[in-house]
Formats: sequence, structure tokens, C-alpha cells
Amino acid sequence: MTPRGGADLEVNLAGIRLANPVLVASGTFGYGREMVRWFDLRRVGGIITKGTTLAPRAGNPPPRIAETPAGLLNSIGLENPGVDAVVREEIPFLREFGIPVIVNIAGETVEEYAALAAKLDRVEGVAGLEVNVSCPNVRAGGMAFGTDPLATAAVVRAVRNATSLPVMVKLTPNVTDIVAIARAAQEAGADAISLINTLKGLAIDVRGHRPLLGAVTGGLSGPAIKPVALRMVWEVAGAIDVPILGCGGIMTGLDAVEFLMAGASAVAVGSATLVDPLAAPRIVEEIAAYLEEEGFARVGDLVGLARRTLAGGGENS
Amino acid sequence: MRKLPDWVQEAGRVLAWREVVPGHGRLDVRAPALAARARPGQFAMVRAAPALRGGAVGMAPFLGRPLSFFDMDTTGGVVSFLVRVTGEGTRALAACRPGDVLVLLGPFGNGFPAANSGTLLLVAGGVGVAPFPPVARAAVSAGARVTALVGARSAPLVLGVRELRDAGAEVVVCTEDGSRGRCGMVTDVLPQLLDGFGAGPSAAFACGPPAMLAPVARLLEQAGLELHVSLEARMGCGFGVCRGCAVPAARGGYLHVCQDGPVFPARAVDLEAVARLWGAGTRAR
Ligand SMILES: Cc1cc2nc3c(=O)[nH]c(=O)nc-3n(C[C@H](O)[C@H](O)[C@H](O)COP(=O)(O)OP(=O)(O)OC[C@H]3O[C@@H](n4cnc5c(N)ncnc54)[C@H](O)[C@@H]3O)c2cc1C
Ligand SMILES: Cc1cc2nc3c(=O)[nH]c(=O)nc-3n(C[C@H](O)[C@H](O)[C@H](O)COP(=O)(O)O)c2cc1C
Ligand code: FES
Repeated sequence: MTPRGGADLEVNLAGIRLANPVLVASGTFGYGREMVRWFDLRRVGGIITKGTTLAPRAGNPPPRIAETPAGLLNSIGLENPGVDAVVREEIPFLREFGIPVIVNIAGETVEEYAALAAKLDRVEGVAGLEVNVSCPNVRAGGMAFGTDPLATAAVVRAVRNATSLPVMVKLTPNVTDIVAIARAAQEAGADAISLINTLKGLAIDVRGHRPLLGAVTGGLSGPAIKPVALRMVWEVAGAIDVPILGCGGIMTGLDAVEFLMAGASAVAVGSATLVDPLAAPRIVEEIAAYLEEEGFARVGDLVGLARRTLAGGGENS
Repeated sequence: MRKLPDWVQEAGRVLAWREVVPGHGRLDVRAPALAARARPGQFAMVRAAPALRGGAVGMAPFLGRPLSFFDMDTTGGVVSFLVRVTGEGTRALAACRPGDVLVLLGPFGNGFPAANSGTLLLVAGGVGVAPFPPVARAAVSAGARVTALVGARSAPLVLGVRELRDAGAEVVVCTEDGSRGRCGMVTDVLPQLLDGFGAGPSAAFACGPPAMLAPVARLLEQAGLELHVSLEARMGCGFGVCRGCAVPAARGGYLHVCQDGPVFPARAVDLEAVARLWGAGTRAR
């Protein structure tokens, strides 16, 4: 579906055909049920579900949200109904929209990731997996995997062997060398890299004289993290061959264009949806308008453009 | 007739911010789509429009602020909020001038159950009175009698009495220092009030600081009444996607204020735990 103008918005992300390059980020869209009250889900390129675990999880103690300058901290703790309930109740609901659904999975052990991948393999309506080795809000697993290249590779290999679905690996920015982790993920068989999850942060309640979040620390998201996310997309795009899904602080179409030009093939909109439920479809429109204004025929022409310009090879041809 | 979509995003024009007592104001906003949909006890997420904040999208306040409907004028297309100025977000609301634009999302939450016969008892602490005028008006026009117990620290901080009377409720005021109405906290005055009820109220709703809700629930349980409470939680979205607004459920696990609430049967929630969680950091309202 081309929302306006003539530009071609279609992209291919690791074998998943997206009608436009805008996905919704895990954890900021639930399983889509609430969002259908806001807009027709077919207006976005695809859905990434809330992080899903083998067993249901109640999540972390409240308070789970703290506002920060240009963003927020969250410590949800992967609250979700468990993969069986998701396969039984949520996927069939989402399937009706006919758009790609990518399930974000999180485990406490390598075996759990493999079991999740096996359960979701061949589930009608699941287009791919996003392997979350980057959640800062759980005690076991989560980010612990994503901060070590060997552990990341072990998870990716196990998932790769358990499914024929496209496998995207979502990395954490809470590392010294993102490129090393991304390389390890690619070598272990990842079809795409998703960048970035939240940055670990803290807020103090100065009236209560204690950390504000029930879980003490949380993950920072929103416009505050956009420069960090862009830098990581840039570095990783220069080092690996698989496509990148860019995410972090995208509020507008022009924010998305920055990610594409840095080397992302598609983007995911996260916190923006919390404050503007229509953000993702609006960003699709804004990207289309940009392409038209600038005379680009295809959104694919933007991917890595800033890299090519810098290298002297790809001025607005 | 086509059913109205129940949730809307609306750019509302500020009609007025008026300080009603120190640190608290009434905010009137022209938002016809929201006014047409809002039910008593529901809330909206309210955010100063980015254009008002120097044009920078995403600068603080980044998140919307949940506020209960204090009044909704369907024909005039106006919604009103009673706001306690607490921090940055509510300060931005207090700085609004007529004509400023706010972004409102809603109406969210399940609201209070309908009370259309017998006597409805409302118990409010501080700005907790905010959701009650629409509740009282609906109950009175459906044929119920409404008594509201309104508590505050001292006389200059008593809120909502005129609006409740206008809505047809009988209002009993109490202040902790005895400077207006009966002396004591609502939990001190509530037992006397219940004694005076004769047949007793047929329904009871409470809203106020978490530390007040647990004892109020105990008192009403002793009186054999089911209480409904309106709760607060820090919210990311207000409409169910972030899972940020968890409160401890009585049977373990969590309930979500924006979807399961903000109004809950008191026995569904672990009110003691809610009070502990909010305790240290939140000053009494
Ligand atoms: C369903 C619901 C209805 C409410 N109705 C009213 C009302 O009618 N009138 C009124 O004055 N207040 C109401 N509140 C509380 C109000 O939302 C907070 O006081 C307000 O968000 C504080 O924002 P701030 O920026 O001024 O304060 P800050 O302390 O600067 O806020 C920082 C962050 O904490 C959150 N926060 C702080 N205190 C609270 C709180 N008590 N509850 C929820 N989030 C909080 C803010 O939303 C923000 O994300 C309601 C809360 C809920 C959940
Ligand atoms: C409330 C909330 C919950 C989130 N839950 C998940 C999750 O379950 N799994 C995951 O991989 N990322 C999760 N994230 C991270 C987002 O998907 C995204 O990577 C991050 O917020 C950065 O993008 P943004 O700045 O656009 O929000 C969550 C973020 C937020 C704000
Ligand atoms: S505030 Fe986001 S789920 Fe309730």
C-alpha cells in the first residue's frame, strides 16, 4: 500500500516483505489488540510483539515508569502471558490483518530460547523472530546474553537450529563494542540485527529518598537515546552484511530517514506510540512525503545514503 | 447511527486555568470529541502540545499526565480537570493561557459502576474528589441519593464542595485541623457518618491517597458494603500497551490501572501494598 505520492515504500527485511519500512517496536504495542482501536494496522509495515517468554510472567514491582528529559525509564520486566497463550490467542488475532508479525522472544537460558523458537516455527501468521538478548529489566537471561559475543552467538545458533523463520537479533547498547556483538550474531546465523534496546538507567525520588522504580534501575528510551542508536546503527552497518532494523527515539518521519541513511533497512517506532498512538502510521506518511519532496523513487534509495555520500560515491543521484 | 470510536486523540483548546485553592486549579479545555465520550470515573492523558514547548518534540514533559474528568459538558464540548500542581507536567498545565493547545487522549478506564437507586456514599481525600462531581450528577439524575464525605488537611485546601452540591450531593466536610467542618481525617469521621445512615448506603466509592483507601475499605467492609476505589499509578501510555501501570492484585500478580481500573472493587486490590508502594515518595494529598 503506497500511502501517498508515487514513491515505492516496500522493503525486504531478511526475507520478510514489508509494505513500508516502519515496524512497531516490542513492548510499546502490546499484541496489537488495543492499537486496533487507534488505526488500521495495515498502515504499518509490520508488528513486533511484546517480549514473549516460555512461561507467563507477572513483571516487576511498581512503580515501573519514570519520566526523564526527552524520554522515559521503564522496568516492566517482560510481563506477558507466555508463548502458548500468545500462539493460541494473540497470533490468530494479529494474523487477520495480513501484515508481517514478528514475535520478540526472551529466555533465561539458551535452551529456553531454542524452545521458544521451536514453538513458534510454523505457527501460521508468524513472519519472523526477534531474539531479545537485551532486556535490562530481568534478573536472569535478558541483557546478560547480549553483552557477551560468545553468549549472543550461543543463543543465535540455538534459535537458528530450532526454526526456519527469519531470525533477527535485538542487541543492547549497554556494551563497549557493539560491533563485536553484532559480528558474533551474524556469524552465528542471524538474518538481521535489530538496534537498539533501551539503555540501562536510574531515577531517584528526591521526596522519598530512594530509587523511583520498584526494580531500582530501568531501560531508557525515547528521543534522549536517538543519537546513541544512530551511532550504533552506523558502526554496525559498516561492519556486517545482514540488514539492520533501526530503533531508538524515532518520533517523526525525518528521524526515521536518519536511521535509513545511517544504514538501517527499516525502522521500529517505540516510545513514540505511548504518547501519540498514531505515531507509526504518521511516520509512514512523513517518510512518503519526504521521498516525494526530495525526488526519491524508492525508500531503498535512502538506505545507507549518508555512508555513500561520505565515501563520495552516492550524492543524491 | 454509527457507533463513535470510543478512544480519541484530540487537540484541545484551553479555555481557562483557574487556581481554586493554593496549589490546585481547575482546567477547562474545549475538546468536543472527548466530552461526548467521557463517562464518570474515566480519565484522559493530557500533554502540553509540543508547539508550546519551544517546538521540540519529545522534550519533557514527554509523557501525558493521567487526569480524571472533573466535569464534562457534552453540549458545550468542554472537559474539565481538577489538578493538584505536583511537578513538571502539572506545572506546565498551570501555566496554560486561554487559547493554548493541549493534546488529550481518552477517555480511558472503566469508570465507576452506575448507582441508580438507594444512597451512594462518596469518600474523597484531597484532590481525590476530582472524579466525583460527574459520578454524583449521574447518580442523582438516575434517582439515587448521594452523600459525599470530603476531607482535607485544613480549610483553605477543601476542594470540590461547590461542584458536588451543584451535582445534587449532600456534602460533609472534615479537616485534619478542624478548621472547617468536622475535625479529623475521613477515616475518623466515616464511622459516625455510617452510624447516622439508618438503612445504610447501598454503594460506596472512594478516591484519595493510598494510605487513606486501605482503612476506608476496612471500615466499609465491616459495615457490609462493597467499596469501589479509584487508584493511581505511573503510566506510560494510558491505553494498555506498555504494562507500566501495574498495581498489586489481592490474589497475587498485578492489575493494570489504565485497563482494569482506575476504578476497582476494593477487595480486588492489595490496598496495603499499594499504600506501601506509594508511601514514602508521595506527599499526602
Ligand atoms: C487514573 C488517574 C487519575 C488521576 N486524576 C488526577 C486528577 O484528577 N487530579 C490530579 O491532580 N491528579 C490526578 N492524578 C495524579 C496525576 O496524574 C499526577 O499527579 C501527575 O501525573 C503528576 O505529574 P507531574 O508532572 O506534575 O509530577 P512529577 O512528579 O513531575 O511527575 C513525574 C512522573 O511521575 C508521574 N506521577 C507523579 N505522581 C503521580 C501520581 N500521583 N499518579 C500517577 N502518576 C504520577 C507523572 O505522570 C510523571 O510521569 C491521577 C492519576 C491517575 C493514574
Ligand atoms: C514500556 C517499554 C517496554 C518494552 N518492552 C520490550 C520488550 O518486551 N522486548 C524488547 O525487546 N524491547 C522492549 N522495549 C524496548 C523497545 O522495543 C525499544 O527497543 C526501545 O524503547 C527504544 O526505542 P524507542 O526509543 O523508540 O522507544 C520496551 C520499551 C518500552 C518503552
Ligand atoms: S499505562 Fe500503559 S499499560 Fe497502563
